[in-house]
Amino acid sequence: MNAQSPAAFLDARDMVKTYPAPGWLTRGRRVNSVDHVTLSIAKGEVLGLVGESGCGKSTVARLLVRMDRADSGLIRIGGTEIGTLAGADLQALRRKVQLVFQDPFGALDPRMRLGESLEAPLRAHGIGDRGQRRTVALDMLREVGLDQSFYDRLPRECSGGQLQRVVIARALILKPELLVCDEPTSALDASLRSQVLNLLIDLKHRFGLTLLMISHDLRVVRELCDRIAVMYLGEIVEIAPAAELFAAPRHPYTRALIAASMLDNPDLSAAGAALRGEPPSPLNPPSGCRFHGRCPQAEALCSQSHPSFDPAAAHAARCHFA
Amino acid sequence: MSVVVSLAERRATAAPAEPLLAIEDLHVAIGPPGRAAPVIEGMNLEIRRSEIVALVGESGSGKSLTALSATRLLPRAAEITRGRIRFDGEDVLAMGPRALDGLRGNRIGMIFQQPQAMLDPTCRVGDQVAESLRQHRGLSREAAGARVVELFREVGIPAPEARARDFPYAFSGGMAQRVMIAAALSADPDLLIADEPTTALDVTVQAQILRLLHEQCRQRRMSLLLISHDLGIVAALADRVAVMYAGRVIEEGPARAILSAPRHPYTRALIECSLLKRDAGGRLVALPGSAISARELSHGCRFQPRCAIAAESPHNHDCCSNEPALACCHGSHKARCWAVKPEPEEAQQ
Repeated sequence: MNAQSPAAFLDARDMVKTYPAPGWLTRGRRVNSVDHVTLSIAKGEVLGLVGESGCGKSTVARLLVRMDRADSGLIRIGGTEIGTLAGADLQALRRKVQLVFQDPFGALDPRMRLGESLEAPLRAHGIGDRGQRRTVALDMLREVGLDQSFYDRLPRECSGGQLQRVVIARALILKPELLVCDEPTSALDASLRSQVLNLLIDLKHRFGLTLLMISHDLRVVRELCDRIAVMYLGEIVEIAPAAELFAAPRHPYTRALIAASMLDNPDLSAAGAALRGEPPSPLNPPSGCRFHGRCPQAEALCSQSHPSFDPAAAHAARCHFA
Repeated sequence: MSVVVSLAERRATAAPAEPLLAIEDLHVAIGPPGRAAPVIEGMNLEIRRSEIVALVGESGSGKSLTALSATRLLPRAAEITRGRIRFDGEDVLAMGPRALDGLRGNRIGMIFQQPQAMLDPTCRVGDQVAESLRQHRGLSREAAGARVVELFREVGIPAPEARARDFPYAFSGGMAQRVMIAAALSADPDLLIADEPTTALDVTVQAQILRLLHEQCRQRRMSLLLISHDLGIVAALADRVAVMYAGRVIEEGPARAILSAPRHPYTRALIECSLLKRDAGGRLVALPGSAISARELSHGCRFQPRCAIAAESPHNHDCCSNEPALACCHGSHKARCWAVKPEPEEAQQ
């Protein structure tokens, strides 16, 4: 997958986003949440983005849907540079790009009937009259496998899985081209997770969606994604086609993540040895390779020089020994 | 040290046959008087000394309420309507406030899903753990502080002296959960109840926390009740697994047997979902529907509306009209399903 290829629907280059550090002790300093990240997604492709909490994967999502503006870098969606959009152009982008969050209970107004919540995007964009909006909402409910009775229900009368379906229906009601899912199944029971994942796969085919799936759960991205990018402390450390990433991971962090996820065989003894400790604070990222402190293979070179990375390669790893 | 010795004696002298925690025929209802809806109906669960039991089920199946019943910490709207709960031979339901205090602080420790929410953001983490030591163990400020550092070291918190002086915001989810485990272990309880201890954590940290719990239980010969919705993850460290559905246990047995040869169709589906198995058509195996409506059923097997077997089973009539009993199928492996046949004696080793 070449970043320059004309087929790339989403093309983000050298995105940087810093936030002011929290707390008075660190006042005036900034956290590099996303540090020169380059990504591209082809039309109809599903890209997975995995990493531990705090690695910056949700910030990437916020930048790509323009909930936040990148400090620097270039983001093109469908050929349009989105960093400078404003007014009507920005409204048009909102129709093209939608977001699904982790917690369906937090994403829906507890006092609004689900039907009203579903129609909210249509109202906001001034689409159709009352009757038409209702028809579209009922159609959309059927698309996500819910019957018409849900139109008049309140969120508290539904399970988490049902609500996540409504959230997905609402995200799709404007017929977006790109859907960004930030941990869409983490708040759900294991039994409902498969339901929602199946739904996302179906809808992707039916609506011809391009998907960015963000998750800390490798099991989920393995089942769903064409390509997977692994993030660590604000950087992409490995990117590869899904099957290849699991068959032949090149970065030690990816290998550790795979082992810790207990993919096929829930065996604790195998999982524990893989990854010690937690990621260091992004406020003081380590010198050289950011993973060297936790890496079983680290050598002197790793603490001195920052490994390079070629985001245009089909399978790239940010490691001196890859 | 005297504390440790007396605990060891207490453990050694207790009759081995007596389970540490025995819940019998527990019924819990939620709602205003007169309109209370049953959420747990006829729940039975036993935990023996130094045993690790996993209680598994979907949200709303009643697993957390079962655990809260054992410590009498049910929310005000919920009420135990019937049943017996005995802890170490004592009747928990007959305990007064004083006895309950002793039970909760000293004998049963609890940790929950959101470790950050359990810590006071304005107090140093070490002081919060020390407080329970001073309260329940009567330790001096200095002794409690020293013990906290020791406990932090045991649960794998790096630089424990410095970390004890930090405030909760400085802790990641995984580290905060280690603090909660340290606090729960500080009283050296006989039983630790862990309610979805890793659900809010990263996959990478999940394995670390589960290993820590397993290690601590084995070292201290402590019993563990591990509650989770993800059967595949917890079954690895449990001795025994009980699967709950709609307020009752539908399958119970040795963890190995449940993982390798589940009998109830619900348990089978849970395992396949947990491992994200695919069916013949390449779709992920999913359980249709959700557990919420099971409560509304008044008769028949509670799982029947979602069950793939019930539709084509020769027992279909039974499935719809009578609820099956939790029947023995192989040794201590039991399942609540009409389609499960008990194995003949000679097949058992």
